[in-house]
Amino acid sequence: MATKSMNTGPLIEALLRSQGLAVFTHVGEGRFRPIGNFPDWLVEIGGANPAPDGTLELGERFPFVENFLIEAQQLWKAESSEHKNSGLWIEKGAGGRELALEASALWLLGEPILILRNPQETYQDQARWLQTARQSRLKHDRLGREIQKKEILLHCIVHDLSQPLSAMRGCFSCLNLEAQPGAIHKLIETGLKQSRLQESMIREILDAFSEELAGQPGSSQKASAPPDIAANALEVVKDYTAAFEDKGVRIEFDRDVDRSRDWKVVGDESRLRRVFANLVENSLRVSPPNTTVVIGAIDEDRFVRAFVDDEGPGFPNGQAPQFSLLGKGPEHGGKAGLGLYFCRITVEGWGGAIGCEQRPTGGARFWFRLPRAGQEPKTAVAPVNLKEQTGAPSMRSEPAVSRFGSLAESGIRARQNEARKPMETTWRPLRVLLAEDTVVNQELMTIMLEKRGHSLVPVANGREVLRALERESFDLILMDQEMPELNGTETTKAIREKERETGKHLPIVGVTGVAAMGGRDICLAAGMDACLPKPFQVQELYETIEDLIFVPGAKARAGGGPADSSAANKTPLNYLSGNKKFVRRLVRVFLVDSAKRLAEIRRAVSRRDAEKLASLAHALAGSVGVFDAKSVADASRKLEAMGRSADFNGIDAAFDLLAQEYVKLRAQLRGLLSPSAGSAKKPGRKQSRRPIHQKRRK
Amino acid sequence: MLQKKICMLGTTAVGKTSLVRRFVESIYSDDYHTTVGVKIDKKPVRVKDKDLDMVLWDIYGSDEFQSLRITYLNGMSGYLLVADGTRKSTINDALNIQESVAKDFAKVPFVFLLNKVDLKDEWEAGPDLEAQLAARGWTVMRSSAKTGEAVEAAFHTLGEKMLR
Repeated sequence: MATKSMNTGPLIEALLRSQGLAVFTHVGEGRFRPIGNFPDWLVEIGGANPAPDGTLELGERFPFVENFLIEAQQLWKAESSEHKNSGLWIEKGAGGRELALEASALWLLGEPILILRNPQETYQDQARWLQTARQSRLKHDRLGREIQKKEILLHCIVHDLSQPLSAMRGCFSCLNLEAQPGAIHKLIETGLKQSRLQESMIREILDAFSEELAGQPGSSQKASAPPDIAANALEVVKDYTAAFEDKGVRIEFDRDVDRSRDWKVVGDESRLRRVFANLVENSLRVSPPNTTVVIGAIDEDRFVRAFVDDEGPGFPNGQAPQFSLLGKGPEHGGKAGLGLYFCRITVEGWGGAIGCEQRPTGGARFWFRLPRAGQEPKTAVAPVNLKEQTGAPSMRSEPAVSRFGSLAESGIRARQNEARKPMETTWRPLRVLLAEDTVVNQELMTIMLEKRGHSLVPVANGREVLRALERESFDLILMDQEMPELNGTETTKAIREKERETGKHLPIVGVTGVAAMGGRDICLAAGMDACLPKPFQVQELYETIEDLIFVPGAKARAGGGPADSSAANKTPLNYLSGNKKFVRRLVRVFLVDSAKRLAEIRRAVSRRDAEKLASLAHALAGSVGVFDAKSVADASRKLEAMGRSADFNGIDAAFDLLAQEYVKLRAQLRGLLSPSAGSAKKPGRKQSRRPIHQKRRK
Repeated sequence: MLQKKICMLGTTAVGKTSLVRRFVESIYSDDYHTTVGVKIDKKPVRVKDKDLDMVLWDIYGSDEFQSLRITYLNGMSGYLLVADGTRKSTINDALNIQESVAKDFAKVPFVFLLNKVDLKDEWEAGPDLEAQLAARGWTVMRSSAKTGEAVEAAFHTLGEKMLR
């Protein structure tokens, strides 16, 4: 549609047409006079309907332009040489076609100019990449949420497994501190051994999972000597003989295996042993009495195949275990199948394979095959990922993982370094606030820390922590991650927030059952100074706490107690004689600890375990030195010498002598615990009449 | 007829365009099409016995790729603040948007919509949130452009607020 043109030459007309621009000059009150012809798109959207005077009220037709005119008027009023763009808006054209439009305002040659254009190609490009980018981000977020849900699930499972297990092991440990009759002691030892095995298994599974999550398959292949598969099989046979005997099942090492040959394979010994152990335990569960389980190894050129044969029911319905997460066959019910899953990811991580089959003579054969040491395949078989097993997307390569992983980056490292800064050079008992919601664990932690000389105030949740901090001061907080009301992370954040006002910094050690699952990073990111993974050893607890407070060596120098010049040339008992409470606590700790050692020495003697005997007797001799108990120390050293030389001639008499002297010492020390006892005295030379070992042997 | 400009605000993919399409055209599509620029629609409604033309400004979702141009809000009489109840992060984004908008448009009424309530299994908006926002004097509604739940009600509630 042609309109009256204003001072425009043919060249300008052609230029505007070729660019598809609709150009107007503002004539006031929101009315615009067109320059040149209307482009087709303006006609299509019904914007080319001028009034009889040739002007258009663009703001009325296009609310978007009406809005833009506020900015445009400001520019025209200022006669600014700059220009303003409106950004895109969408109008509907013929057949509902979407047309993208953009307005620009400029002051040109003394005229207020408005340009409308239809940047359709630019719009479509922009729409395309924005659509792609936003869809990718949505997908990424969705994946992140999925991963998070699975992590939380795993976290809960691990926490639920670890918590009672730690408590059980703690209870067994406490029971073991007291000398027990032989049969009960055996049961306690079995309980301890099994709970340690279970804890180690949880740790290994967590390690395996964390490698999956971190996308670092095979990082567990630490530089250690390649394990001998036959030697390990033999060790497993020894370890499990007693357990098999209890069930009336025999376990044997295959006699056809030539031990003189090289059976070294890729892997590490502790995990290889666990793989064997899982398969053997599996066989034990299904083996009826009076049958035999045979473990052996077969040379397969560049590989070694290990096997565990049982005479159980096999797989009567053809339903063999899948070696997948929670994928155990119904015939092997009772457990979730994590053990077999662990075996698979471990063996495959070493470039091997695992499987099971029905034996022609009945029963089942579980086997795994590993490359010989030095024969590793150039490309190891990729470890199983969670996508295969759970239907979850692969966690290895997705950005969400690196997002979580980035928590461990600079900020945390800086905090770790900062946290490691020693604060004090002298050892002293610490006042520790323990945030732990499980009563059993509270008690266990109390025993451990008080044994070390620290005092402890237990609370059950984060809110109680905050209240305790308002009332009292502490040297350090031990903070369980999982607590009701306010968890460890939230509580730490609240404490750190408050410390911004005071400028103080209270060391906080997080205690988490999922350290390997990112729990450590979460602790540190929340502001904790260190993280203690559950389950932990007592020494780890001490070191973690004390490394935060003292310079290295301070605690070692003082042996876990105060170090000052007045202590020189005095036994700890003399040094502490003014502190009855501490002496009593020391005596109590000693009595419990030494009774345990004596019981262990007795076992080592009865088993003729020379190495263990030497070590235990040496330790007992060292510990009685605190009480200047020369006769017990001498008897211990005699046993130590017998152990070192593996000379058991007269060993029973030597042990009886030690037991007698120990009973005398114990009676004297118990005297110190009575309410009427005065100051601590050297107890070494007082007598007692009833040998403890005689009483127990009844 | 009385015209009132209403802006749809919220981050990307919370369902602003779907809410407008449900309200204006009574249609819904599960396909996600990101909005580039501004789409303007009109819908005549009757609120408090008054005929009203709602001019709906469906503004692109603000995110790391595009930020909200505050001049688009000039002349608005009310706005619908939209979050996706199945994505907690979009609620935080909505709260940030509201905080930013309130600097220039403190007295402009709005309704906060927790959209996609049909996806109950994925719902992440905690029950405390609505109570907390209501305590601030906000009108919070759960909506679904898919089922139409609370869509009309949300626009009408906003219409009533605008006419007060």
